[in-house]
Amino acid sequence: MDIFKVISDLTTLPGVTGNEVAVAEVLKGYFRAYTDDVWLDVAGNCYARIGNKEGPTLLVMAHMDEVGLMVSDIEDNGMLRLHSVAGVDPRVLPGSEVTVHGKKRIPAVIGAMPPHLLSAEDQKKNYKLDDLVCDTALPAEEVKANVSVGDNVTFALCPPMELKNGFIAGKTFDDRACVAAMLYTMELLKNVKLNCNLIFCGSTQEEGPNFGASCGSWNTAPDMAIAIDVCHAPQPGAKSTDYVEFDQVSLTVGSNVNQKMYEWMCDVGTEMNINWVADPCMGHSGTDAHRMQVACAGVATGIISLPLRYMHTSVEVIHMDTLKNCAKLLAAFAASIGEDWEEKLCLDD
Amino acid sequence: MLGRLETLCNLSGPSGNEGPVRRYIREYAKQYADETWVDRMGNLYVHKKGSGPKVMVAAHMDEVGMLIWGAMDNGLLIYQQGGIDPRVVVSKRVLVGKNEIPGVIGAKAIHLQSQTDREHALDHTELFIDIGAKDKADVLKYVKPGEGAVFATRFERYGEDHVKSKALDDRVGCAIAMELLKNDYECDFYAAFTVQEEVGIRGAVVTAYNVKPDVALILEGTTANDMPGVESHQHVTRVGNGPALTFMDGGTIVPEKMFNALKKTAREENIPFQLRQGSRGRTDASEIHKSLAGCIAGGISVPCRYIHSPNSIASVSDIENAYKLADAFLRTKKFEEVL
Amino acid sequence: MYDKEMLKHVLSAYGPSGREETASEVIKSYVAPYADEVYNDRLGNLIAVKKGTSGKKIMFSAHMDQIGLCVVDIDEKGFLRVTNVGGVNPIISIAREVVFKNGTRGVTFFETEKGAKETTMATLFVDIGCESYEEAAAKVDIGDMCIFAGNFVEMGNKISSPYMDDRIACAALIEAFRTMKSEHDVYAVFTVQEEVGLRGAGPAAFAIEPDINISCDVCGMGDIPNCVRMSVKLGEGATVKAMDSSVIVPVKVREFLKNAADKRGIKWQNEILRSGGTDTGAAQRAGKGTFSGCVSIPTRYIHAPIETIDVRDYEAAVALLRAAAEEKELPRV
Repeated sequence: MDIFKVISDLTTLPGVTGNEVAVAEVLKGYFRAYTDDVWLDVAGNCYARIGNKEGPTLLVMAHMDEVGLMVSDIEDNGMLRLHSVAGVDPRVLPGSEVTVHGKKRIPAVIGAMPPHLLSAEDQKKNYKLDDLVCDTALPAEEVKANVSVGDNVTFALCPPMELKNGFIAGKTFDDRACVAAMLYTMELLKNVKLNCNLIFCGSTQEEGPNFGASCGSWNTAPDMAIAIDVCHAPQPGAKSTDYVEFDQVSLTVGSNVNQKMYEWMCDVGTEMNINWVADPCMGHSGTDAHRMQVACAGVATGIISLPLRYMHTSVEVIHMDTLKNCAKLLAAFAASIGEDWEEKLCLDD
Repeated sequence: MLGRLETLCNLSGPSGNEGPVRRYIREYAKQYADETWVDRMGNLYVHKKGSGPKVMVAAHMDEVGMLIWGAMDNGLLIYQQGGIDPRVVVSKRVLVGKNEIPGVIGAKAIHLQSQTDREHALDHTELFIDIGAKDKADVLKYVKPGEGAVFATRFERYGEDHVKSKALDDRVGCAIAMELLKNDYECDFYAAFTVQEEVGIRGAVVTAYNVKPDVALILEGTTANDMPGVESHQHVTRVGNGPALTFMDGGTIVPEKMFNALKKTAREENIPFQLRQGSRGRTDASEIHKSLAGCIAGGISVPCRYIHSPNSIASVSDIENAYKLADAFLRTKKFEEVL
Repeated sequence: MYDKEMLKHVLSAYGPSGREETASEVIKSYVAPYADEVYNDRLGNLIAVKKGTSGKKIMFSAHMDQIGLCVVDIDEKGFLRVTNVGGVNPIISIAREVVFKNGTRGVTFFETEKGAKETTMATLFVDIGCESYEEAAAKVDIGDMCIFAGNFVEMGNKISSPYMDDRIACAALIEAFRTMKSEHDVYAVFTVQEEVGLRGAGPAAFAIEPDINISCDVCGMGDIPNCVRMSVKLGEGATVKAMDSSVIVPVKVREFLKNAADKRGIKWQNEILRSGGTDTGAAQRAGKGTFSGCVSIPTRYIHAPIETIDVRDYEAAVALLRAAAEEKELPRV
């Protein structure tokens, strides 16, 4: 499996939070290479099931959506005004290339009032989203014929690039790199007999109202669930408490995960000789696990994270080996689920 | 009940690490229950079977506390916390992890502080737990990242009518619910001891799913601001004026029927009570009442001064009257009137 | 022509969040004659059902609760201290007339030691004309809620009144329900406690398990002097919501509504509500999840007692709700 190609395919698709249809369509194809049991749900989640249907259900989620924008207004001259659907850092927008997803795809740039027209004081401030325009340079009539309020705008759909030493950079590695890791997990499990009912889910709306995680866990009623997402890697200006090292697979510990499941995942990581690190988090983990944990009767959750630099920009950076290690740990965990799973998760011994 | 309250308060149970509290309650509850079980989040259920509506009392087991993030090179521990004012932790003793290793939270001595230092309120990111370790490697021999920590303060009686302790929020609720287990009520009765209330009302969500109650009664420790210089309408509750009944808080508007039934119960039984005169804060009721197709939820609270600090103060008579009120509500089948 | 008497009646019914019984009774009197079944669920949501034959369920929801004030204390001179029920801006809530469920009237003002601009809920109070605690406590209890009083004002195509949010949508749903013909089971749900955090719609949707929910609410606009930029304008039609802070409406659902409108020549506009959430999101995420969309009526001065709408948008909303119910094909996974 050419992981870089998978990432490239997945990250060059538009999938702003709440409108992940294009990603789900392609993911369905990738899933079908491993199983015929593939389906969608009302939230737009895309699922694939493998393993033993009678066994305990393990739900694995990586989210398909990306931070992005919506057209909020069209000016008389055809320039577009934008609204952040979820999670966009307005500092990265000025001068960026974007794609407007109207009746057809239209390339555009994000413009701002030029600095020489701003006061010295104002030049030191960041632009707010309301100060910016999205400029297609097309005649107003053509814009209005093709673009409506509510259409999505994404970062330009540039393929990722390979950097030195196994690092790669691109858009939407948060979290489609982990969707790719999920597919690599399926590859690793291809010839493994599983005791668990393993459901993989490309989820929706993680960056927004988290509809995908709640809908997905209510519809599959899992016994165990793992969110695979990105976390911060070392980067300029970040404190050591904000990140984990690039070569480490992060395992979250704290109230959003089941303590026993965490310990189990640690043991699997250690047995596999995978470089993992505990990533303590007191409350909300900021992942799909937040909603998964409290679905239905309560779900034993775990969180695996891939360190990533420059989150929510168009140049997110990850290391391929760590991505593979995330998948190896996940595969080994799924394979380790035996008859004794309930005792292993029992909180009161 | 007070003896059990003392034991409960002295146990460690920061959000996500409620094990010691859960084990203690479960061991006690078995003698009165038809069944007890723990779900995958750690909520404890105690079921006394009966006919009639499903009535659930709920109290949360977790207390405001800390989570060890990791260690500095010099052997001090970095922590995260939920719901603690950083100004109350300086110069306090804590117990760290499963083995309750003693530690302290210190800060630069007053002699070394500049004028700015003295005015500046320290933030949690500037504060560390010191267990006396030599360095990073040494401290990690005793404590693992992800372990919890709580204040080391102990339960004490203050005079005739008061108690002082950490974690009164919500071990008072747990103690009252445990006392209720001794009685038989004419309903299908559940006590839910919930987890993770202090980090966003998490455990309660699934208790509603697992029990599917018709009526839920939440037993809580609540804020009391009856201090000099605070105007009456900002007191919320007053310690010693009786258990507090909520009409509305930041997460729940108690249905009129439920609010009136609780008031009526108190009047009929001559139990003193006060109203919780504030609208901020949330309890487990906020998630329980809107779970599934919805249920009727209300609350009885024990006023606690200095809530969420290492030492809060509550009145023994408030605690006893809160128990009496909850008991009377159940015994006189007021739950039937609210449905 | 719209039913002005019904609208005025619905607008003026008492029903702050959590205390919606009176409003529920008023609305029930308008929908019951057209429904196969009407009931209140445990939280107080009013649900009117019209049976269909397709085996599918379409839910409409409009919230009947309203923002207001709740008494937390009565001082020795008989002044009431209050807290907000829902999103009340303290500064624009002073110098207003309020009314309690039992008819007790009062006026609001602020502690004048500080300027009006510094008013918070803690420094705002209600004067009900009493001279002692005892006199006031005989009329009003701690825990009682009051709502803002005001007038129904007609200004050409525009009308202004307190509580267009969300009684104008309740009225739209009543009008649509009375005249709609649908193959599907129609559930008209008048929800409780939207203003305090979208608490009623979720449990209703959980119990009904509809194939689709269409909420009806008010939304802001961008057509008054120097306001936050928004594309919605009064008089340009009912809106089809794309998103607000509680929900992103699936494209399938937006297209469903737009097609229903276009087929019948109903005027509509796209809506992105810049801040604030609606029942749309709560209904969407209930239980296993449902398709959920929203039709809004553009409204000026939301959460002030002079909320202003355009009658033409209201009539478009009525038509669009009816049109959605008449569609044979509902959105599918």
